[in-house]
Amino acid sequence: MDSTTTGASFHDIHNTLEAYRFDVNKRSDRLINYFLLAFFASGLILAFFYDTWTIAIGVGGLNLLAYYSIKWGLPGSNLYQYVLSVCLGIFMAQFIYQMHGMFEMHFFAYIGSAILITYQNWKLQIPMLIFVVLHHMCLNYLQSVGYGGIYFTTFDYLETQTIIFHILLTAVIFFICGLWSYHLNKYNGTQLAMLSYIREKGEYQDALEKLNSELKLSNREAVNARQDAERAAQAKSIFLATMSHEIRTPMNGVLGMTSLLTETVLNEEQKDYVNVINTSGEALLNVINDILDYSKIESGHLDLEEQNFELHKCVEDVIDLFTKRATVQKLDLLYEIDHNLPEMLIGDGFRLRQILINLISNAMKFTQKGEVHLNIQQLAAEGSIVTILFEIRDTGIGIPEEKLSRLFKPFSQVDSSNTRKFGGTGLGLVISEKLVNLMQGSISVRSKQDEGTVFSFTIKVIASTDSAPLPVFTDPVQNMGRKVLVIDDNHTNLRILKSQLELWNFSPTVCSSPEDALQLLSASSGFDLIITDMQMPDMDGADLARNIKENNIDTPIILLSSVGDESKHKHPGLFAAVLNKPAKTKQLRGVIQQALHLQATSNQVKEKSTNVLISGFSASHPLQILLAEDHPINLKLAMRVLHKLGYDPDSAQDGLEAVEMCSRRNYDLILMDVLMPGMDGLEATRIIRSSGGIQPRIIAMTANVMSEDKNACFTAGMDDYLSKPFDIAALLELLTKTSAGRIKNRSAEGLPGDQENSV
Amino acid sequence: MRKWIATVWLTLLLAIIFSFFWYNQFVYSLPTPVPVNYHTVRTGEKIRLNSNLNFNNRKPVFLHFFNPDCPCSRFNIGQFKSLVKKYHRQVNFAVVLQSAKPYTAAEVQDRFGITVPVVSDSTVAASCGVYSTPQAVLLNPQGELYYRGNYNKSRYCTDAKTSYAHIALMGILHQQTTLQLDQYALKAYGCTLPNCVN
Repeated sequence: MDSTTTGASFHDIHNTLEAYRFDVNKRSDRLINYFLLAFFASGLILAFFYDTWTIAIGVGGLNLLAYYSIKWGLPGSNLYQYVLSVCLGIFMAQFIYQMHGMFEMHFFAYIGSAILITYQNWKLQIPMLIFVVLHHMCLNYLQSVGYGGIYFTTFDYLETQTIIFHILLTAVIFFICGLWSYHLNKYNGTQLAMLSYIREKGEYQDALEKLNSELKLSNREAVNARQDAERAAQAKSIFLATMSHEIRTPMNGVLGMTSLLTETVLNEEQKDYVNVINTSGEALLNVINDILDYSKIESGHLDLEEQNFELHKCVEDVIDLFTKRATVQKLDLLYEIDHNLPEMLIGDGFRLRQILINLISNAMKFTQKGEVHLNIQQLAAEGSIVTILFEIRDTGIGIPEEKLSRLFKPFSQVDSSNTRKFGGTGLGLVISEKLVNLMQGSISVRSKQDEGTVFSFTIKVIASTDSAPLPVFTDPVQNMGRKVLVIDDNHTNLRILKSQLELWNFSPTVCSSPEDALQLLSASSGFDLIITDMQMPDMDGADLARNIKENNIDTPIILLSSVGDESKHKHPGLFAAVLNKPAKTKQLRGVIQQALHLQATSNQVKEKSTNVLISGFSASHPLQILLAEDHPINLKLAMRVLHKLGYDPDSAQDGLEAVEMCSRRNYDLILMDVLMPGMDGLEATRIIRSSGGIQPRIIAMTANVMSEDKNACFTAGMDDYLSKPFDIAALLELLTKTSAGRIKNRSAEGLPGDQENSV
Repeated sequence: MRKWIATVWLTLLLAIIFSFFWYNQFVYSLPTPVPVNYHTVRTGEKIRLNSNLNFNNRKPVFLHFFNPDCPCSRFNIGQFKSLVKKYHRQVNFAVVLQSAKPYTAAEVQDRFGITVPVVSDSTVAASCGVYSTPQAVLLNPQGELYYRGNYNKSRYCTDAKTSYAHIALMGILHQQTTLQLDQYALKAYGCTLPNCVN
């Protein structure tokens, strides 16, 4: 029991005692009515003996008057009880008087004393005792001294010693009566209070039991509600999986065909456009992934992978996604990577990319003019663990301080009007925060309204011991002392380019206006290279180049232009190279080297061909392939890819057909769609696996990316998994692996070579 | 304020109660009024008693005028009985009943434990000059009034110094011709005589 309860209990007991006292008084008052009536009647009866009617009526009546008048006049006081005490003493005196000193009348003193016990107040004994003592002492004394008018007793032997002895005994009786009153009050009251307390506790217990049963009911309801919620969550997961599948299927077509398009002969611009389509498609996939990720986060099933990835590539891929958009919005999209950071890291590059896409996308969404700047710095390095700080700074509308706290809540936007204006699921930041936390980092935001916002987050990754692909460019020592003039009105970009050039051992000179650049050039013609921005106030990059050429300065000029800028075509011969902003580090470095060593590096700077669909692939990796796919576009896509690789795969429209074809012919590899009409891929796999004979390698090919879907594939007997839209590199890897496995098996079994069966 | 009023009120009531006691006491202390047609009988006068009180011996006669309904009469019944017990050999005791109720002698003897004769004769009181109860009348052996008065100054006969009847009895037994008694001895106190039915 804590002190508050105890205090409350004592308070309750006190209240109960008060109520008990009140009950005692009330009950006693009722009794006293009868006793007083009896006393008065006794007086009348005694009046018959010695004809003492005046005394019986007068004194008895006045006694009653005294008692009831005080009781009526002072209802809130217990003075009437003390008056009663005296009245009972007077009654005794009256009876003694009426009976002319009859000794037995003294018993009325004891009767009165006993009656007073009913009030359970020992103090009530005192007035009566005092009265009796005074009455006896005075009258006895007066009679003993022979005072003529006093006739107190008929005993002629009553002496002072006797009367004192009598009075002492009387006092003892009064004391005992007082003691009983005290005990009754204390123990009966306490007992009653305790009983009342126990009763009250009992009531509380009943109430508690009732509450308990209600709680059990509520718990049961809560459990039911939880089960409902789990069922709903399950349904949601199924819905998400279905939606994911339905969206991924057409996306497979889009991305696959884009992939095929990149295999055709394209000029640089077309390649760039195709690349943008591809990247945008992937961004769209990211939206779907966002939703799936959020679902996974909610269920706590989001796990990070640990794989080698190249930080620069990761960042540049993200930047690439937004370059066209930056051009359209006339924003400067800049990025800067601390050169101390390792090239290769071990972590989840895909998730890091996802975070950056979210944050940069946000920054661009809310920035009308100015720049969006991604700055990546190494915060700390402990052994192989590297803490990296990412800062995405924009010059956008900013976020009111009071709304900053809402940013990382699901489906929360800064305000509804912004939601309408800028759109968005509101999941990006939530997912980003969770991912950052999973990467043992933290995310924060600071913002000033109308000035801009800075989102910053840290992650911890492992520095990989694998080295990044070696640059094809010349030794930086060769650049020592080479002077580069950089012209850009954007100071951040100037700073970035300067630091990059310095890193590569160049001697950069930065200039924020074309006019200053021209002056510098006229003053000193010792620059080996000029890098200029296209969009500048007063004079653009083309005009500047033209002015430079007009001044007979043949220093090679590299133009930094936006995606879609036709400067290169409009001004042939003006520029040694044109790069889309923001210039990727490696690309810039290559272009610079190209410009400086035109003949030596012209072939090297050309971007490595991305053609991976080599028609001779099937010759080196012979496989008999069955493609089971119901979706015509996906079928077409997969067939085209395989054809390009030199394969001539059979195709099946559903699982049943795949099983039939498999029974007729031995396939090395079956690329099996999971969801198909009639018989799905899982069922078909199970039948194939149970049929015996030479078992093909079965690779699942599906847009279902939930972990449970993967598990279902493996449980059905599939060997591997290829998610849609499928990555050609991943397909090639699987084909290579399968081919190698088949050759090994056949060698072990002494079977003839594959050439006969291969296409 | 209410408490003050209550205090005053209670004091007033107490005073009235006290007054009641005092008044009753005062009434008791007053002498019995002398009847209008009262005939004074002096000490030494010859008293003629009826045949019921004819003892035919030479002993003094002690008459106790007694009314059972009179409180004062009942107070000194004990005193009378102690005198009877002590002197019944030397003195002729008799109870002269003075009551409006038709008591028989046997009833009175039984009720009060009296062993002496009880007579109901209202003329005896007039003969002796008695007009209240309780009263004691002592006649010498010659039938002459020796003493007519109270038993005691105290109502309950507890005061030995004023035990007038006893003193008179001793006097007559010691043949004293005169009695030295105070004023309270001969002035009648107590109940007036009822209209006796006997």
